[in-house]
Amino acid sequence: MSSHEIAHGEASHAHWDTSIYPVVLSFGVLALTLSFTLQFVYHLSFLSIIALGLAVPLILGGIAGWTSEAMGTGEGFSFASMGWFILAEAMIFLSCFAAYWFGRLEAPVWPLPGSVELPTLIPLIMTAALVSSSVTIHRAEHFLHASNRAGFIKWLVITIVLGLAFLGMSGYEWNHLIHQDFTIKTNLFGTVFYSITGLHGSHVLVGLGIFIAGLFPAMKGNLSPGFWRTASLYWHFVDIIWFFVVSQVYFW
Amino acid sequence: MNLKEWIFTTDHKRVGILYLIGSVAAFVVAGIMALLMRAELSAMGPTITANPTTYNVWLYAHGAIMILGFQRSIMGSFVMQLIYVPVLGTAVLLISFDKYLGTHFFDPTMGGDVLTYQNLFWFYSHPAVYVIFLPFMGIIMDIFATFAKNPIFNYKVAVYAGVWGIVLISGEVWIHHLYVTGMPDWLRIGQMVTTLLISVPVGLLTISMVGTLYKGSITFETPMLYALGTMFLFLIGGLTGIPLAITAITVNLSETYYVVGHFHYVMAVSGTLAIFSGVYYWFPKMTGRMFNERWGHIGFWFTFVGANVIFWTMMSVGVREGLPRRYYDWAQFPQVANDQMVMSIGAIVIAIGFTITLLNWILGAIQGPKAGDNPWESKSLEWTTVSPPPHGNWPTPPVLADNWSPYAYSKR
Ligand SMILES: [Cu+2]
Repeated sequence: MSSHEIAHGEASHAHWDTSIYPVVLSFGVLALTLSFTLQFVYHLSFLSIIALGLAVPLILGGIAGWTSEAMGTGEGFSFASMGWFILAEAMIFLSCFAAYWFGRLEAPVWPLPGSVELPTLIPLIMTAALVSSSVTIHRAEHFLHASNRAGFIKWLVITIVLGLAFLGMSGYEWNHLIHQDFTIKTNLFGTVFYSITGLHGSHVLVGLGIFIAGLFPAMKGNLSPGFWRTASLYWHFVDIIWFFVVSQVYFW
Repeated sequence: MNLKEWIFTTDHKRVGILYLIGSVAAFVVAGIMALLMRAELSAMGPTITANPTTYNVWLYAHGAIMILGFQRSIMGSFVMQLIYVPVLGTAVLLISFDKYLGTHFFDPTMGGDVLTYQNLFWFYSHPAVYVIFLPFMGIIMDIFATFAKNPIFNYKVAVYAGVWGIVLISGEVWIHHLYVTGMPDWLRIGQMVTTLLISVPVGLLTISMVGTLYKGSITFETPMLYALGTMFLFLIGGLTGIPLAITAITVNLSETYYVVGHFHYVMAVSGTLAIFSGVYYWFPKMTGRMFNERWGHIGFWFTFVGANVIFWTMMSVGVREGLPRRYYDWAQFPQVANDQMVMSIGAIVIAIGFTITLLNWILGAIQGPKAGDNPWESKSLEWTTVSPPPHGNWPTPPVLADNWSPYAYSKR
């Protein structure tokens, strides 16, 4: 990976650091946008699926390769960069909430026609699951620093299970609401409900992806404390965002 | 040269150069779009396309691709990019949701709000001007110091009050883009005051620029010519922005060619000239070779004159006739025929200037004479290594005097 030393004392014939994965990943992202364009703008579903079929392995392979390449190089700037990344992510969530607030505060009547009563038990259980998962990943990190690999893996797996349970309940709830004819197209509240819970859910999914991507090296004995410190910071962020979602969307 | 070590590079200098090549490519495409629009508007009625939608596509592509050409990251603007770019991304995402998934973010009949889009868009797009402005300020300050052989005047005030003042104020003035859309009077007046307040940090930066030149031993190599051109164009752009900040005047000027002219002075051409001055300045460092000084000057004058011809005429036609912007044709305004022709000629002059500049870079990089490590006799750190810098930046660690400073110039 990139070298940040001011000088190595090597002469200019030294070889330049290279990595194939940034290029792989950018072609993956290009194919992904191409796939969306083909589907939504040109309505060419078949070509769109082909582009998607190219995009998914390129993106996953790019991320996996880049991660494993970086695993061996120490923490670098990953923890600080995750902080900056979270700032940008927070702005995305804020924009979506702003769209919700603008609409809701100006609405002559609320709830809007077509809205349904949201369940209250499920979001409470989901909150409990996500909050506990923040505790369990913290616990896993504790074992990591104590060099207890078995303890680390145990608590990591519990965290992953809690995250999957969260997503499962979210899916169950979506399904339940869609059967009551409350969809993303119903009104602004439907739009906001599915967009914001979906946006948050996609972050949970990415978090689980990070955990699983790190689980396999961990089982082989490759533990990078920097990686886990960064991954856990991201997971805590996803947890905190959920409090905004639950208070603004479910219980307001 | 090993092509593989360029395409797959993870070295920051090489990634930077790849970005630069990408930016120049985007500039060329966006410039072609501008030329197509100018060709269309050069005469009344359909000129090179009979389809107004095609014209709109050029308009959109010119704006969107030009922004790609401008993306760069330096500290102050780096922080701003992290905060504001995600908001634009979300605005674009939500509008495509509305269009393709049937959502109602911006649809008032279903509880959404059209103004949400305007707010999200301008929350990004006003500060975006400064995201571009701050790095170019940094570039031309460095160049002024080098070619005037003076330390940067009032350096601390420029950084803390100028740069960070802009970062702070520019975050809360986006609502001035909604003056005509409608808002309560107290908000309109508050926005007018804070918008005008931005003149203060910008003024401090201008004082630093002029102070750096004052009593300097100035030489007019190509980078300096571009840096001075930037300052001149930015001054015109900045001053013509003041009427737009004042609500009583802007109601009459909104959505006219005046706005387009002002915007292109302040952002497009002064930004372009600043980036060109930076490329010329660091050209010997990046490539190890020297460009042709004479053709550098010729390219500058074409670009500079062309820019003034087109954008001054634009502002003038906006004030005189109130010619509305963005339109495919101007059939109701036969009196602007000469102005339209003049602007299109200006665009061709700029295109000639760009072509000369681009050829100068390409030929210079391939077959220019060897430049040496520090052709401009700059004191800044990057000039202490060889040109182009090797892997690891310095062949041997640089040794700095105890009193080293990047701007420690003494009169020649
Ligand atoms: Cu603005």
